[in-house]
Amino acid sequence: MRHAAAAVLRTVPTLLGVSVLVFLIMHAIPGDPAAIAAGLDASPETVAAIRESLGLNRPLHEQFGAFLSRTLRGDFGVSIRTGRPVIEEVAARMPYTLLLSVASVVLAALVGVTAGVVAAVRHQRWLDHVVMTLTLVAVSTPSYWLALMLMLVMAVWLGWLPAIGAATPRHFVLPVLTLGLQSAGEVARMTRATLLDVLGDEFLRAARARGVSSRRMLWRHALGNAAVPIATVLGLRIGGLLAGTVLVESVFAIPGLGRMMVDAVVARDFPMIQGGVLVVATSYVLINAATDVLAARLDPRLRT
Amino acid sequence: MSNNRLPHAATVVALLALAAAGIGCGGRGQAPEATAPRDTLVFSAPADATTLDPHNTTDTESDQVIGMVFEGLLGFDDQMNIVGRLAERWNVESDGITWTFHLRRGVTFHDGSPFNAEAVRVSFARVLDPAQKHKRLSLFVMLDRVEAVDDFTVRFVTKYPFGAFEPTIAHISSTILSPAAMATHGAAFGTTATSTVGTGPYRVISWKRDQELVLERVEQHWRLTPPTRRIVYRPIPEGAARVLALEAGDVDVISRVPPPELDRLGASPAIAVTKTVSIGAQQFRFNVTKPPLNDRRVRQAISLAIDRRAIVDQLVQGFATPSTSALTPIMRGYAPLGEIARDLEKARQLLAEAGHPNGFPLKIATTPRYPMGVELAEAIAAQLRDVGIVSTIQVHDWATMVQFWAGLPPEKNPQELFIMGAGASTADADWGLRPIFQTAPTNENNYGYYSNAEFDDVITAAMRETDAARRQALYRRAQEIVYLEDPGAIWMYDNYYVIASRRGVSDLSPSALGVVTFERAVVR
Repeated sequence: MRHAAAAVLRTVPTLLGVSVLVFLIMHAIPGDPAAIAAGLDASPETVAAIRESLGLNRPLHEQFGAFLSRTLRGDFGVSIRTGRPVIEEVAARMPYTLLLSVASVVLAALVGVTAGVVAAVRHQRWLDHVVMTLTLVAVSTPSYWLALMLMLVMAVWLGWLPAIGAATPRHFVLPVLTLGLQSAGEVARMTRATLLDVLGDEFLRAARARGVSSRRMLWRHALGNAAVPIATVLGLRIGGLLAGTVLVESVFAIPGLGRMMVDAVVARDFPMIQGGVLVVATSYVLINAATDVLAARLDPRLRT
Repeated sequence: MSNNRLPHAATVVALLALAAAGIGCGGRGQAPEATAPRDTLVFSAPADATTLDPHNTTDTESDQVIGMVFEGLLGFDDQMNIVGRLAERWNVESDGITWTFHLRRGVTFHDGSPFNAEAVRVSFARVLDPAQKHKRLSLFVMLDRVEAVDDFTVRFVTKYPFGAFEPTIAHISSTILSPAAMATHGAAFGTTATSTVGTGPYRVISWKRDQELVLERVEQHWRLTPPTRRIVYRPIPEGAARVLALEAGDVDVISRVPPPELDRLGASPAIAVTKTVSIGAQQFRFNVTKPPLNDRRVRQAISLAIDRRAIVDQLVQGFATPSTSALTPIMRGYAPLGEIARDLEKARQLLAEAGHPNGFPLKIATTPRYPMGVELAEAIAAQLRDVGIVSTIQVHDWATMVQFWAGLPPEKNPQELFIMGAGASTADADWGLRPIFQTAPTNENNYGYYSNAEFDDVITAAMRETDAARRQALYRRAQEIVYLEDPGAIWMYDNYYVIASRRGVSDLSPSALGVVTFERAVVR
């Protein structure tokens, strides 16, 4: 429990650092949010008025101070582009991105671990080669291309699944496949490598000598030992997916966080970018902390 | 906003793969059967509406929805003629500044409140109030006041005679908002389904950002009750995905067809492609303060060195046609001055006269935000090399580009030749020429610091001229100056507005403003 509390505490400076960094980057890159919001044929008075109403004409440290105090009170401000509260915009999109990430990590775990175990058990046999080839294809297929091919085959040719949207669970099949298969490839390769490592270890040979059945040995002893690196890879994947669903959300027209962030950056919608990044960063950091805790449960050596 | 988020090469490769794979596969529902009309039509564009507040809209996607939900005193028909909507008739006094509108009776807003003169007055008071900082305030700077004379008569008084008054009142930002909803929602008007209340043939019943916006017809609307009960607006950012969704039957109509897909879709028996002449044109604007571009002979030479036909044929075939003037033919005040044909001999001669017989170095700024923005700059650079002009191309993202156009004085602006899309949303010569070429101290709208004394006089006279024939003659002169004699830009081509729809969808009315009017659409 102490470990968990410490992990959560460690997130605070990280999040503060992220906030400062995002704030500085947004103000350092060219582009005036007021000019973009006003549109090309707006008068300079309109632009100036918008700039003032956004507080963009105040000194940087004041703007950051205001941002920080608002954020600490749970007020993320109002989107420049849409005029709606950032917290509402983020809350409306979070479930989609979360569902996409979690579902594709589950898919990656199921498919990846199974494939990895199969490949390790059938080491250097034809099944191992097939699995390894498939995972190589999965890892190196560009997801944009995979997304369009899945749409073409499953939606246009076969008509089995809807091409775009997020209205029903069926709408999520193709996006989850797109995201999950690539991760599955990584997980499978990781699982196989770790298992092969463990299977060659002394303690397993000793166990085998003690007469432990090979099935029990594989699932309990070997996989138990391989669990830590696998959990770590999956945890990193989930964090990465939270931020990395941009492309899949755009192609499949899913109203998630990634797409929102792209629109926000294009429009230099500062409050939206800051709010969005903070939410993604918090999730990432919390997942990392959870992975740490989980790893500690799985591996006694990490319990300090 | 932008539909150009992914690396260009990736898009092209994917589209080619699709084209190769998709040949001979028309998708489901090929033959339109004689079925009963469906009650829902799904429309897809690259982006969601950003706002449904008519006083804050500056993008086509927002205009698309606002145009279905709100009506103005005047409006445009399919041919961009001005017609009465909420006004039955209107007239201007001989002073040229007092306009009287007689309103239609018996019209109600979607929330049940009555439409009347007070609603008109309050609507305009909202956009005209500088404290409320609405983005469309600049459209109405000529308005002095708006008064309700009686329940169904409104008087507008302008500060000076203003020739483009009617197109301004027909503009999407002159539509009338429900006073009750304005009072309830204030600045949040038009940010959600419930805060969007007008008198149009459709009302918004739900709006999930970036997912879907559902419009439902108003039964027994005063003007027309649309045949299709629901229009679902579903944004799909990726061009290739939009096309696949259409082929899969997930959506019925799409806008912004990706250029590489046009031929394939046109050949498909299941899909119909519709092109409409639009108000949009693609230019490369000169910063006339940068030598040697300050010499009009140099600008004429550059304009003559460009082979517009070749560029249109190779880059945007089927999407555009070479420009014939400083305005597009659908716009009020347009004067046909002809395509500028490539004439290298004349171009070299003009450069020699200007003291640059061997050309000079030139910077071209562009952004992929405009379709083919980078390819266009490359084509121009290649063609200018034939007269010795050696170009450097700078590619910027939209936000960076906008910064160069945000009211900088000339000495702070490094741009020389830069890409610019034109499209005056009033479809009128005044808004299409005056703000962007009239002499101004900074480049708040006149991004290239264009300045020509005769042009200024003509354009001011035209603005105050309310007689149609004299107005037309003045605008013809203005176009001769800025298009031919003292060029303010390389006018490249006029864009078509291109939409694609499933067979079985009929009576769509795409408008020159780049939006579809669904009020007569039928889906089978």
